Amino acid sequence: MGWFDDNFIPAVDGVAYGLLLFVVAAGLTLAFGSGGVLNLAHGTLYAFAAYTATAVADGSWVGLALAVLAGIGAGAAGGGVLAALTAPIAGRGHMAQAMLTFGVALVGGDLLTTWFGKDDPQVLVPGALEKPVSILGHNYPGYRLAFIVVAIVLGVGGWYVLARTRIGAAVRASVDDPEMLAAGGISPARVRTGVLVAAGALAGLAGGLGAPIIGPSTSVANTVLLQSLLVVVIGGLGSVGGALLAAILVGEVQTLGVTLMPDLAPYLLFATMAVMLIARTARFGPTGSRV
Amino acid sequence: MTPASPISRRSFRVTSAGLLAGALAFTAACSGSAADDKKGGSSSGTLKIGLTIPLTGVYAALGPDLQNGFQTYLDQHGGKLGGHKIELVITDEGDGPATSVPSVTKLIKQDKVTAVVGLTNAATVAANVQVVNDNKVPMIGAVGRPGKIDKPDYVWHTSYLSEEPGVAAAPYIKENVPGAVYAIGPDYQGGWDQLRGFTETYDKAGGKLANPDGKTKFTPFPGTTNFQPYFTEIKNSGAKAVYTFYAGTAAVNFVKQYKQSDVKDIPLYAAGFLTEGAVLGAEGDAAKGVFTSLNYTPTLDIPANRSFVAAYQGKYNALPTMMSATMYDAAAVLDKAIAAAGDKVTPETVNAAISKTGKVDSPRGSWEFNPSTHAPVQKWYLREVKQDGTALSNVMVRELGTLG
Amino acid sequence: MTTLALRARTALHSPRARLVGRVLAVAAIVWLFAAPYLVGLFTLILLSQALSLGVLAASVAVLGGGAGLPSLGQVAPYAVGGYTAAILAEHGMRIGVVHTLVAAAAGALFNALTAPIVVRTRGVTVLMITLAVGELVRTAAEKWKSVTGGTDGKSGVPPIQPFWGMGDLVDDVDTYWYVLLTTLVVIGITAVVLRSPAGLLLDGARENETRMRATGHPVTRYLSVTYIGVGALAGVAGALLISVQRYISPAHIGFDTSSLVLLAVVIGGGASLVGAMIGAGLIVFTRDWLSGPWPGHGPLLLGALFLIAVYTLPGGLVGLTAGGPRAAWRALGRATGTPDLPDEPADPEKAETAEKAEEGKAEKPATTEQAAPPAADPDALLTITGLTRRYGALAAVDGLDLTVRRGARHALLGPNGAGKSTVLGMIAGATPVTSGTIVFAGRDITRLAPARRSRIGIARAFQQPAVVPSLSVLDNVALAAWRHARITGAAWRPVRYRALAGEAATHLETVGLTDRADEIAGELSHGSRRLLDIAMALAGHPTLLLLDEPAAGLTDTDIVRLATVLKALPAEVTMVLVEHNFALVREVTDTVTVLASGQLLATGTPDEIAADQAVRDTYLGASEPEHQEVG
Repeated sequence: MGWFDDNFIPAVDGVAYGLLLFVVAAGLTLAFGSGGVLNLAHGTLYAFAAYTATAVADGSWVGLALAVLAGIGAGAAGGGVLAALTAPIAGRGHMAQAMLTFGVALVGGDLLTTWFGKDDPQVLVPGALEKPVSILGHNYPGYRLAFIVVAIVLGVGGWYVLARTRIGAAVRASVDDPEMLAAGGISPARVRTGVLVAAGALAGLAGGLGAPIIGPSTSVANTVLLQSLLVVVIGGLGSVGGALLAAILVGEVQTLGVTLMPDLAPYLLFATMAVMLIARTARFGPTGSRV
Repeated sequence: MTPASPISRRSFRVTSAGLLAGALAFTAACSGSAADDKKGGSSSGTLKIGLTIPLTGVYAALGPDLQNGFQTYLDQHGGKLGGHKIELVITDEGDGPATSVPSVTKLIKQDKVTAVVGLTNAATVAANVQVVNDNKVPMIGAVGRPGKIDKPDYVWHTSYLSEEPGVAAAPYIKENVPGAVYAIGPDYQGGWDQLRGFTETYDKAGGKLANPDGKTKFTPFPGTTNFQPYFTEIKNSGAKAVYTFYAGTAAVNFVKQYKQSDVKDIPLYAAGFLTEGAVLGAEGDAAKGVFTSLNYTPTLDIPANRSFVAAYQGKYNALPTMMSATMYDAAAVLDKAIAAAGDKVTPETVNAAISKTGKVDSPRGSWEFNPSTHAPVQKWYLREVKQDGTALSNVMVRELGTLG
Repeated sequence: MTTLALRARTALHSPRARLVGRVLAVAAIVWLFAAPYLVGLFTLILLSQALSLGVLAASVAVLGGGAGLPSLGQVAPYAVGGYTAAILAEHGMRIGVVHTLVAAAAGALFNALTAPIVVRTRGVTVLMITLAVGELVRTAAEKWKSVTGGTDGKSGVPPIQPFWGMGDLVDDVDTYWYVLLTTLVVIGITAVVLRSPAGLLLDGARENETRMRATGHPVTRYLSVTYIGVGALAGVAGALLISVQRYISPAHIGFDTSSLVLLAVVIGGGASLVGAMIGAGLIVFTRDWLSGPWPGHGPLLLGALFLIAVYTLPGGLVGLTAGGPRAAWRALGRATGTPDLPDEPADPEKAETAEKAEEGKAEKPATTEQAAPPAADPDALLTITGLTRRYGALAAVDGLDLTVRRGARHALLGPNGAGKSTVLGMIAGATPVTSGTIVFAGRDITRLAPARRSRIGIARAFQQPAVVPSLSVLDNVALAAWRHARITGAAWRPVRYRALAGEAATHLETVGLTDRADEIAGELSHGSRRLLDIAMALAGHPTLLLLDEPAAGLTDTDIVRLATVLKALPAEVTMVLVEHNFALVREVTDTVTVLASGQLLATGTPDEIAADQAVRDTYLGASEPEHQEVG
């Protein structure tokens, strides 16, 4: 019981953290796999949504719901702006898009501090969620526990939509082969816009729900971008299942990892990424992917 | 893909040529040439003072506190220091040396300031020691102080040495906490120094850390946003209290998560930054009851502080923070030194005069520079976060003695 | 011949590009020399820093634009060089020249250690794995306090002395001169190496790795050498950083720096050294100089710079001002609607995956006729026994026995999905063999690497003509002849190149492309590219030439040209031809083997095969829609 008991809370927390990263990374992987945009402004969309949600939230349940909706709206709007900005350079390759989205991230960071101020805002959640909850004799933040539940519900719902509905089939088709939709008479530009708005909405959903966990600050965009990039790379570009496993892994590395291997903890994330890439290169060849 | 029309290609080319020409023009427009640049003394009445403060990056929230503190002194003294009209030149400190070295260099080489003031991040100070010593321009740091400065000839701090908050707090904690204390902090130089101050003094006082290996737990910096795993370890260690140092966003995360975890009932002691300034607002009620050690509290009841707080609140509608007070004092030090430099005000004469400042009558009480460390000999205070009217405030509990 | 070779050199870097590039470089250098008399001290110090960062950017340009390995990890050897120089200075060794050399060695050594995990990756994977390397080194710099000074960095580094007997470098103007001269020397050396014939090897490796390997080039070794070389360059940049600001900390080597440097390269225009340096300069001046009047908005201005650059400089500064061959190719791509040059290097797997897709559709083998195992034939150049290639449960080639006589003109025929291309791929070494053996000239080559097979005389022309699009026609053939010509002299010496080009010209004559020698390969018509591809295969002096559907997509006129070339092949070259065009097969071959579903169906002269009923049936079978859609 001792070892398990000592590490129970970190392990649970790794799941909460991982699920949050998963929602962010799902947007990143969607934008890359289907929209063809290596979006370095994805963390900025999270930050925008988190700031917006924080501004809306007032500590009531209605406020929380409105905050999440506002987060989604902010993320989707940001995705729309990105779609408009990247439209003229679609087809110019990843480097041009990386430069553009990096520029957007820098400009966006400046705008966010102009709009929302430089101070970290206080994130208000309903009192019932603010209190610690006791699980197996340990106190654990109630909000995080609720988030795990909500994320699982969202995940199952998302899976159902993707796997069992016609819209899901269209999305999957666009990920597998963006040109196929074009052949079916849907304008590729519209598909790109749709995909980027959806990816932004995912970042916004994460920002809205995640503000009490990874709160809005001047540095949050970088943190979230780097970690979701790690998730996407470790999970394999374009793979949703891989991203889920990778997100939990990255979450656990930062929770269990720091308690079990404190000296190695700072190296763990990037070392994991390097090892995964080497292994995948050995298996799938130089680009490390199946394509 | 659309074929590029000849016209758009030409306009591309014109634009790119414009970019290049612009770049050359920017540099050419810079007045004078390096070959005949002379370091500026000042013959005219107006002096330039450079502020290098964080306007972007992790510590961006501190920027206004710093600037407003300095400005408050200027406002109280008719915009003059030592009888000279002062022109402030502000540059960005950013996240550290990559941004701050060019900023300080610009202040010295281009603006030819009489002194550089501000500097939150200890690494920023470390990076610029060379710059100010080479150029013989005084630099007065108001917050972070590197672990070791070999030659602080032109480097001064109105704040403290990084280990002092811990040194000040340790004897009190040893006396008042019945049992072992768990020490935790961020894994970088500032964190190491802050925690070393505490653990060494605590050890000398006969205390024993609750940490399983007897050593401070250091958390990855700045990557750590999640402290839950550490709280579990703290709980398991059976600690009777926790001592820590975090600042900025990390402080907000630490305090909020602390109050929702297994350790919520274990007393939390910290260096003052954990609850200082803007972070206190973001922490909200979670910060209530946190004890911190610092050289300043806005609730200090002495005349110098009362007038400072009133002036600051009147203009900025917020309580001053330690950073505001140390910047206010930096202005006070310069005021004296520039006056003492007399007719020949140069960065060098001002630096020489700073070493003879003597007692500074400060909002935090009177203090003076230690001649070897160039940091204050000053009183320390224990503060507790309490509701003060509508807002939370760091309310003074008691004095912790004089250090420096 | 020599004049042609010389003309080819100018074709490689097209005359206008060279002129504009040179004017730009000369103007920049003149301005840099005049700068101390034109600009203020602060600007001059920024210039010193921009030069140091520019050397780092140049190293990324060589790696990304040159070798096709876009890197976010060059900050690692940069840090190693910087910390090495700082430690040297602290221990009393303060001679700048020594710093430069030792830092270069340290940077190169570091990259030599990480080369094995980097040079085998391509595309986005390179970016990610180098990002990991850079971040791990940064973390180590933060943690290893006794050596690196930890997060505060190494401050108070003593000033350096440029050379023995010279004074301390403390004056900003003196420092600038030192940095400028060191930069010009190392960038000059790099430029000379890149402009030498050795630069061709990188162009080839970046743009068409499969072809390079097929013509015997050990591409991985080239990339390793380049990667180690740019490690030295980054190490020098680190030493320069120390001479300028006498301080280094982990803040200088994080993701921020790597991404800014990479974007400097993109702004500059890919492979261009001058472009990368100007890009680095623009970034430093935008962030640190322009932000003066608006303190705190450095990132905003930098972001604006990137947005402006993306929209107005699609080919980078150099691409647009110079209109070099690559820009020309891109412009062509835009104009014709064909895709741009890939940002990612040619993927050797793609060919195989395409084959997989095709061959994977092969139906379950349905043997109509089993050929007797071949008798040991003294005339045999190539003997294939029991050759099998499986993709999962599907056998694309299933127990094939085949003998090709020395000097034969041997055609492989069969419906789509019969396994012809897979057989060719296995003979060339591009497709791994599941079981069976391939014996070539008495030697078992079943497990030999493609480049080794090329060197013992197996050459391959590809289904899609595999040329290096940005190089001239002559340069393409010279590259293909490189590993086969008996020419001594170091790779970077022009004399070697002249000899190579002379030999290449004879092969161009063979395929009738002599008058197009100076043209850029990417601009050729499909038919001419096909002939160029064959010339490249011939440049290896092969004993066995493998041709994969050479007539596919050609016009009638081009097919006539092709037939003429194939008929005129030297007698000592044995040819194996995969082809659907039976008229062409009849005209140029003497033996035909028909495959169906990965197995041998019939062998004989073209006339015998034309009359064979079983073959007709198979071809009728091939017209089922399922097969046709693969085409």
